[in-house]
This record gives sequence, C-alpha cells and structure tokens, in this order.
Amino acid sequence: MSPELAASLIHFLGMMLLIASFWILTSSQIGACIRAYATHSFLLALITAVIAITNHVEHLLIPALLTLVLKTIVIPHVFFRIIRRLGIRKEVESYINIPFSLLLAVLLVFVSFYVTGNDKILKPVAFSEFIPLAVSTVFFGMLMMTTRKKAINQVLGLLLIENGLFLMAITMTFGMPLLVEMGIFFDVLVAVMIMGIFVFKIRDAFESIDADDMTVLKG
Amino acid sequence: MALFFYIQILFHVLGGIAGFLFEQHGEKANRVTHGLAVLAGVAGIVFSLGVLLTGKPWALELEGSFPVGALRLSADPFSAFFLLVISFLSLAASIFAIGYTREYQKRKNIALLGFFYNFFILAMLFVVTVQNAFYFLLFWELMSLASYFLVVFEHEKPEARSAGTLYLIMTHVGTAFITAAFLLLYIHAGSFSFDAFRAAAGTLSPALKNVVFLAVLIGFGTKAGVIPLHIWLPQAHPQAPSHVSALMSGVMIKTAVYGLLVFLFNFLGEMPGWWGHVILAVAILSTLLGILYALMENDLKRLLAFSSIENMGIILLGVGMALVFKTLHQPLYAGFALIAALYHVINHAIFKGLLFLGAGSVLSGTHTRNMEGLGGLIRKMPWTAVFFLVGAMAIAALPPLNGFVSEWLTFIALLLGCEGASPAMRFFSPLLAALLGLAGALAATCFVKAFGISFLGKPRSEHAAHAHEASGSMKTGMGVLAVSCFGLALAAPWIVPVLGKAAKSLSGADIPMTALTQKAFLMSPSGTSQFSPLLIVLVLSVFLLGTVILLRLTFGRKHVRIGPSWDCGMPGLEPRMQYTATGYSKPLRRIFSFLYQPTRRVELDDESHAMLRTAQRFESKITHHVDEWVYKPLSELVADLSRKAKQIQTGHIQLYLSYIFITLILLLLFFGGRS
Amino acid sequence: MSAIIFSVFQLLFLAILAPALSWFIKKMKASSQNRVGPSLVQVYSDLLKLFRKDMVISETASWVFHAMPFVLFASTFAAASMLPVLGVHSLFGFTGDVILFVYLLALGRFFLTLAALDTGTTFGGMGSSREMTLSSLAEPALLLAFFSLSFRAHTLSLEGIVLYFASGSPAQMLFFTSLAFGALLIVTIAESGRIPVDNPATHLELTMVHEATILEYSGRYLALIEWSHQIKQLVFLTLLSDLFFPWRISGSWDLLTFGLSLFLYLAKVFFLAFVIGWIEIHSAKLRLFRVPDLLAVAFVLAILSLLGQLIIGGGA
Repeated sequence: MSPELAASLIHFLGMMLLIASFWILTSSQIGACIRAYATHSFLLALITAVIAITNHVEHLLIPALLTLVLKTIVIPHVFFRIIRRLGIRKEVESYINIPFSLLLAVLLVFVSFYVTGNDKILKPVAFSEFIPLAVSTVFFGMLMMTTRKKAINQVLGLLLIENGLFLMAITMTFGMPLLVEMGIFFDVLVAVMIMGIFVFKIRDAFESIDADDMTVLKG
Repeated sequence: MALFFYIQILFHVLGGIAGFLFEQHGEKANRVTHGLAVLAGVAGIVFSLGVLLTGKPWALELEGSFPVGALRLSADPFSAFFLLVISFLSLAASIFAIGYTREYQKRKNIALLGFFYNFFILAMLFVVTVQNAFYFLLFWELMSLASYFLVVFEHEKPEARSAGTLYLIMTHVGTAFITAAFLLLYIHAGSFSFDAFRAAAGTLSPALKNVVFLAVLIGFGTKAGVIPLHIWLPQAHPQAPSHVSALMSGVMIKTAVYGLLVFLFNFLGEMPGWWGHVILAVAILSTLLGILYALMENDLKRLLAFSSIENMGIILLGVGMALVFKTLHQPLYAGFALIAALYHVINHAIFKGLLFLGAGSVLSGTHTRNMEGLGGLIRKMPWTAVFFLVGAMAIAALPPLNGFVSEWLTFIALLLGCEGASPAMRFFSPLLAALLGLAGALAATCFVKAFGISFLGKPRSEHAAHAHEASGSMKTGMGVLAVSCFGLALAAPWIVPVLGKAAKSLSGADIPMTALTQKAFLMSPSGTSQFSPLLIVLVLSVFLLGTVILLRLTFGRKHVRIGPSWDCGMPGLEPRMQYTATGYSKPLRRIFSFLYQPTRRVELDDESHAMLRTAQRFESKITHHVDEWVYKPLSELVADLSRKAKQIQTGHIQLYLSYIFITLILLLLFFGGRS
Repeated sequence: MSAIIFSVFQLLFLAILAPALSWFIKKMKASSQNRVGPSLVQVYSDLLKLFRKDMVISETASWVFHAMPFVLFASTFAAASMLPVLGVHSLFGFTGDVILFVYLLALGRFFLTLAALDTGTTFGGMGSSREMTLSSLAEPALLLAFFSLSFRAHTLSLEGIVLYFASGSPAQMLFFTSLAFGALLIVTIAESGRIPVDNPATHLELTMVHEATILEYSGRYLALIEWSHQIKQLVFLTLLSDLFFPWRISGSWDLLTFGLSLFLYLAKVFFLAFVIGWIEIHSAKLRLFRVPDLLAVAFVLAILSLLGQLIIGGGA
C-alpha cells in the first residue's frame, strides 16, 4: 500500500468513525445504540490495525485485536444480556430531542476542531488531524452521559469517552506502552461489569434504572 | 442636474399642500396630490440617475444661525442610489395610488392622506441626503411621524390604532438609541456635521466604538425590523393603505440600512472582527424566522410584512460579510458583499413594492386580505394575477428574475468566506449559505401558497367570487414594477458596476470592476463562478418555445375536452373542499413545531349527538417566542412601573406646580452654581 | 463546432435515455415481486401514446395549468444542459453554476405546485403542500453538499467540480466525497420521488406526493410532465456518477473512445439506478413526518463532509 493511499484510507475510516459517533448519539433504540457502539469500536480497531501495518508499529496490533474482541464482541454482548435480563424498555429516553442532539453534536465537532487548532502542540504529531475527531468523540460521550436518562446510556457514554481517549493515544503517540494499554482494557471490562452490577442494584432499589430516581437520595 | 432635485422637493411640498385646496372634492384632491408625487418621482429618478451614472456628487449648504451647524445636503453616488430607490418606488406607488385611493374618497379626507404621503417621501429623501446628525434625526423623526399617521389613517379600526401605538413606541425606542449614538460621536468630534464625524473616526477609543456600534445596531435594527426588534413591523405595515405599505416595506426600512452602512463604513473607522459576526448572526436569525413566521400567516399583507423581515436579513447577510472582509482587509471581497447587499436593497424594494400593490388590488377588488376567503382571482383579476406572480417568482429567488440575481450575489459573497478567512468563517460561511438556501426554498413555498391559494382554484367566498379587476392606474403602477423585475435581472452585469460606484463612494475602497463583470457575465471575485442572467433567459426561452413548436409540429394541434375536476366519482366538489391556507402550511407547522409550539382548539357545537355535528369551530395558533419572552414581560414591567409612578400623580394642580418648581431649583443649583 | 454538436448530442441522449432508467427500476421491482414487468419498448410507447392522446382539462384551470408542463420541461432541460454527461463539458454549463442549477429545478417545481392548486381539488392542494414542504428541506442539503464539494474544488461551476474530481486519483477523492455522496443520494431519492420518500406507483391519492400534483393532467401535458420527471431523475443520477465515479475518457473523440465513454456512462448510471431500485425494494415508504428526519440526515452528512474537509483535509 502506498503511503498516500494508506493516509486516504485512514482518513476515510476516521470520517466513518465520526458517522458512527453520530449514529450512537441519534439512535432512538438502545439496541441500535449498542450496535452503533460496536461499529464504532470495530472502526477503531481497523484504524489501529491500518496504522500498525503502514507505520510498522506491529505492537499496536495487540490493542487492535483486543479492541476487536472486547469492545466489538464481548461488551455489546454483555449489554444485550443486561437488557434482556432487566426487561427494560427499548427506547432511549433523553432530556433533549434527537434533532437538537444532532445540532449540538455538529457544534461540538466544530468546537473540538476549533480548540485543537494550536499548531505548536500538533505539529510533531503523526496524525494531528485525528485529534479533533478524538476530542469530539470524548465530547459526544459527555453529551450522552449528561443528557440521557437511563443508567445504561451513561455507561455507553463512558465507553464512548474511553474510545475517544484510545483514538487520541493511538494517533498521537502510536499507543501507550503495552502494559498500560492492557491495564486500561481490563479496567474498562471491569468497569462495565461493575456498572452492570450497579444497574442491577439500582433496578432492585428503585424498580427502574432511571438515574433521575436517585435524586431522592440527597439529604 | 440639481434642478431636478429641487423640482422633486418642490412637487412633493406642493403635492402635500395642494390637496387641501380641493378638500371638498376627493377626486380632484387625489389627482393633484398623487399626480404631483408622480412628477416628483420622475424628477427624482432623473436626478439620482444623473449622479449615479456620472459619479459627480452634488451638495448644498444652507448657513443658519443654529448652534447645531449648517444644514448640509449632499448626494454622492451612495446617497443617490438610495434616492433612486425611493424615487422609483414612490413613482410606482403614486401612480397606483391615483386609482387605489378612490376607495377612500367617500369616507376619508384624501387631502390629508396626500399630505402625509408626500411629506413621508420627502422626509425619506432628506434622511438619505442630509449631512448633519441633528437634521438627520429631525428628518428621521419626521419620516417616522408621517408614517405613523399613515398607519393610523383608518383610525376607526381598533387594530390600526393599536398597531400605530406599538409602532410609535418602538420607533422612538430605536430613535433614542440612534440619538445616543450620535451624541456620543458629537461629544468626541465636537460637531454634529457628518464630515466632522468622518474626520474623527480614526481617533475613537475601542470601548466607545463598541458602545456606538451596539446603539446603532439596536436603533437602526428597530427600524429595519430585524428579529428580535421586529414586533411592530408585521402589525404596522399591513394597517397602512397598500401603496404606503409598499413604501414602508420597500424603502422606509431601507433607510435603516443606509444609516447602518454610513455609521459602519464612515464614522467608526477600524472595527473589531466580532461586529461582522454579530450582524451575520442577527441576519440569519431574521432570515429564517422571518420566512418561517410568514409561512404561517393567512393575512396577505401580514405575510408580506414578515417576508420583509426575511429580506432585511438577506441584505444584512451581505452587510455582515462586507464587514468581515473589511476587518480582514480584503477590499475587493468587501466591495462585492456590499454590492450584493445594495442589489438586494433595490430588488427587494421593487418586488416587495409590487407584491404590496398587488395585495392592495386584491384588497380593493375583494375587500378582504384573508387568504381563506380568496381563490380563483386569476379569472376576475387577470392582470393583477400576472403582476403578483412576477413578484412572487422574484421574491422566491427564481431565475430569471431579479430576486435570483441578488440572492446569487449574496450566496457568492457568503461562500467567499471559505477563501482564506478564519477557520470559523470557513465553516460557518457555507453553512450560512445553505441556510440562505433553506430560506429561499421556504420563501418559494410561502409564495406558492400566497399566489396559489389567493389567485388559483375556485373562489372561497362571495367577496372573491365578485372581485373586480384593478383600475388602469393601479395596473400601470404594478406593471412598471413588474417590468423592472425583469429589467433588473437582465441588465445585472451593467448594474453591478453602477452599484460598485455607490459602494466605492461609501467605503472609499476601489473595486476593480473587471473582476466582477465580464460582458454579459457576473463573476465571483475569486474566480470560482460566473453567471449570466441574459444567457439563461435565452436558454430558457429557446427551450420553452422549442418545446411548444416541436410538439405542435410533431403531434399537431392539441385536442382538449373541458370537464369538471376529478371528484373521486362523487359529484359535488365544492370550493370549500379545496386546500386552505392553514392546511397548506400544516406540514411545515408540524415539522417546525419546536419553534412554533402550535396550540389548537376544537369546539364542537351541539354535544348531544355523538355522530351528528351541526357545527364545529377550529382554532390554531402559533407562538411568537420573541413576543412571549421579551415584550410581554417588558410591557408588564413598564405597566408595573407606571402604576408605581401613579402615586406621585395626585390630581392636585398645586402639587404639579411644585414639582416644576422643585425641578427648576434643582437644575439651577446644578448648572448655575457660582464658582 | 464538433464540441457543440457533441454537447447537443449528449443532452438529447440524456433525454432519450431517461425513460429507460425508469423502466430499469420498474423492472427490478417487478422481478422482486415475481412479476414480469414491462418491456423496454413499453415505456417509450407509453410516452408516445400519451403525446398523441386528447386531453381532458378541468374547467377551473387557468393559463397557469397550460403553461406548467412547458415551463417544467424547459427548466428541467435547462438544468440538464448544464451537466456534463459523457465528456467533461456541457452545452450551457458556462452560463451559471450549481446555485443556478438548483434554482432552475426550483423554477419547475414552483410551477408544478402552482398548477396543482389551479384545479381547485383537495388532492392537488395536498400534493402541492407536501411537495413544497419536502423539497424546501431537501434544497439546503443539496446546496450544502455542492458547497462542500466546491470547498475542495475551489469552483462552483458544475463542469469545474466534475473536472476537479475527475483529475484526482479516485482513492484520494473517496474520502472527500463519500459523505457528500450520502447526502446527495438521499436528495436524489427525495427529488425523484422514490421510496422511502414518495411512492411513484401508488394509486391511493392520500399517500401521494408527486403524483397528487399532476392528478388532473392527461394527454400530451402528462407526457411532458412524466418525461421531465424522468429526465430530472436521470439528471440526478448523472450528477452522482459525475461527481463520485468521475472516471471518464476525455480527449479525442474517435469512435473507440466515444464508445468506451458511452459504455462507462451507461454502466455508472445503471449501477446507480440499481442502488436506488435496491433501496426502493428493501424499504417501506416513510410516514410523511418521518421524511424530514431523513432529509436532516442528508443535511448533517453534508455538514460533516464540510467539517471533515476542514479537520482532515486541512481545507486546502
């Protein structure tokens, strides 16, 4: 693969990643959200793999593989299990409607582009054009966590943030030391497990997983 | 040349007064007062065209012993451009008025109407020529007052009175801000003369500049009717007699653009970048909300008034881009954006004037402005229908009419923002252009509704069924404007250089015309695009005629049977089964429901029968957020304050005298203290 | 001179080919429903028959009704004449740019929806209202998609944009055009009145959008309208193929290169028609009030295309 073509391919995948983020944010069904997350992670794995091959940083193939296995297969699977076990409603409940989220999301992409425009920081980085994408993914995760009602969407938001950080690490520095990365992966996995348990507990205590109900806990 | 300007002024003054000689005889008063206005309009066109084409400015200074300075009138190409717009539209409106005001002759004093009408035009002429802040404000106020009296001309109608009051309040709030801006400049420059302001422009402190800018934006924005300062416009414009509505929407609100441009380009010197951005934001808000509210209107003249807000937005988009480029020191692009704005000024004056005159014809032919009661007028009023259609196509920015030309220029001006401006502009300028496209498409929907529901189909009421065609002078007035809609489109490549002169005389920057026009083509200054209105008319008409002729040659004469419309096999298709104006905009009302927040109420009479309804009432309303969120609380606050202030008002004359006494003493103490 | 003859030829070719594309989609649908479907000759003989037939015209109709088919045809044809079909040049592409192209189509639609109101029936009004509503939402998406392409190509002329994308390597262009392609595909579906936006084969007036506007037309007027609708559809397909599959042969026009470029063009538009047909077969018509969501997706895709170029392409 010529470097030009490789760059073009990575850019294409990057745009698809952005589309997948939009998909997560605008899905009105939880199932679609999870599938979109799986797609997002799949694209992330692909990007990692392409970077690994074209830039000869083979050790990146391990996180790529881990992303593929954990985030595209295991975690979505866990989520679907939780949904099935809880028997919760399939609709995403949100404080703001979908078109407005869309609008906010577009603005967030622009903001992330605008705030990362400092050449001094970005010049030495290999794929500096990915920084805004990564930052916007983080923003999307935060938007998701702040505007969605159900705890399960908040977990998804957190995972989206993690994906954004991962993208940033990959494209800026070709990944962190392997040990750190492995640690993060298991962190995420454990986090999902713990949150899953929490979601169950919330359901047991409040008979719903609406995070709003927890407002009664304040003094 | 100057002679023609004096003639114009003289005829307007005479026209205003002469009507009173025939006060008892309505028709004579009508002919004298409006006839003189027509002649004045012709003289004004000759004068302003002379200045515009030769580029030679004209000036007149009347020395006086006033402390505010000499009354200096001058017409450089920029002022002459506005003079031309005012004169031309007042010419058409005055011709129209000769026939139109016959309606009023039985019950109204035509001389009085003519008096306010002529002085209204006169005041506008002075506003765009005067070179002294004090006199500017004087004529500005005269213009506002004259138009106020025209709005409340039918003062027996309560809605005219309340609209007039609202107009009076809003226009004075605006004037207050303009006055403040002028006073701030006066303190700085030490003189009321515009020349002194220009000379002192470079030495203004940034803070003062910003304050003046905001005051000017609010002040002229109120007159221009930009959202959120628009609330008077859709109420006041429809209440005036239609030829006056045409002038108010067509040119009066443009004087605000004149004032804004003079301030921004002449009095304030170097400007920070955010001014342009603020104007762009206000502009796009007005453009979108204006047309969205227009879509929901069923009153023909109110619909037109809301669409004026949209068009002011489009003009301000050009102005905003001009500012952005000015701060980036790209005089060519700034000049181009300015030309786009000026072109839309004259285009909007022409087609909105035409549409208001058309609405006036409909009003005089059917005695209703409510579209739900119209329909089928194309048979009864064929000429009005043709003229209204031309206006509707122009305002919907359809090629090959003039609306498209200026919208195209505005599109290009916005897209120039992609070329090397800041990253934010590079993203937002195409986005703004796309939103302008949205507004254009919505305007097309709006005017399909306005024309289709009013003029096509079957009459929805007795009024519409017995409509009569407008009189000869009314048709002439509309015809002049309709023809100019075509003329302004076809001659665009030759008009742009003239507008370039006007823009140059405003901004002082030289604009190389070869970059903007070549032969019959309009060019984008960055060379990204070209467009020839003349050629596209040629192409369209060749294809049109070609189709007609080829069809005829190949398949012979058409054989037509006339039959009833398709009624699903159930005879009895009635006019009231047609789509209504409300129904027509229903899909958009639902799609934009987050904005409109529509409320509906269905009332059923005769509740006893579940199946048989004898009558039912349906009511559907939309929410105007600015009114609800800003003006309602504001008016409540003012009412509250007034109630509090009432406490010092006791009714005792002695107390009032003592107020005056105390004030006098305090003032003397404050200003007259011995040092 | 030969260039002009060639341009006229490609315009006429587009007009003649247009019904065949409609036939192709019809045939696809038919075979998916285990029907035989019409033959290719059928669509042309249908048009011809309509041209020969007498007309029944409503007594309410005014001159607007009579003028509409001609204005619609002329404006659609004028828009088509701005489009490069086989080569990189078009007949009247020099007269304007993409903005003119979009507004020429709007001119036809303006008259189409007016004529629908002219006969004073409920269905006409309904079709008119719906058509204008949907197209007023599709138009900004179309414009923005064009703007995002011209952002890269630094020109607004259709020819210029096509030429720009034809000259770069396809793989590099893929990234810049993929999102705009999505936006334009959705607009194409909406503008040519296909499922999931509108059902061209419906016989129920209440579900019609485009068909309801022309319910009162018959004979040669109907033939003109149908034909211009087919031309408009092919114009959009050609646009897609021009912009996103820009491989074309230009240069000397001997028989071989001409034949090759003709073949390439046919392959591209029939492939795109296949995509449209595939979507039509595999989706249900959306509710009227879900369509704006779809058009919003097109608009957002166009915005992202623009943003993507700013972020990744450096906007250069």
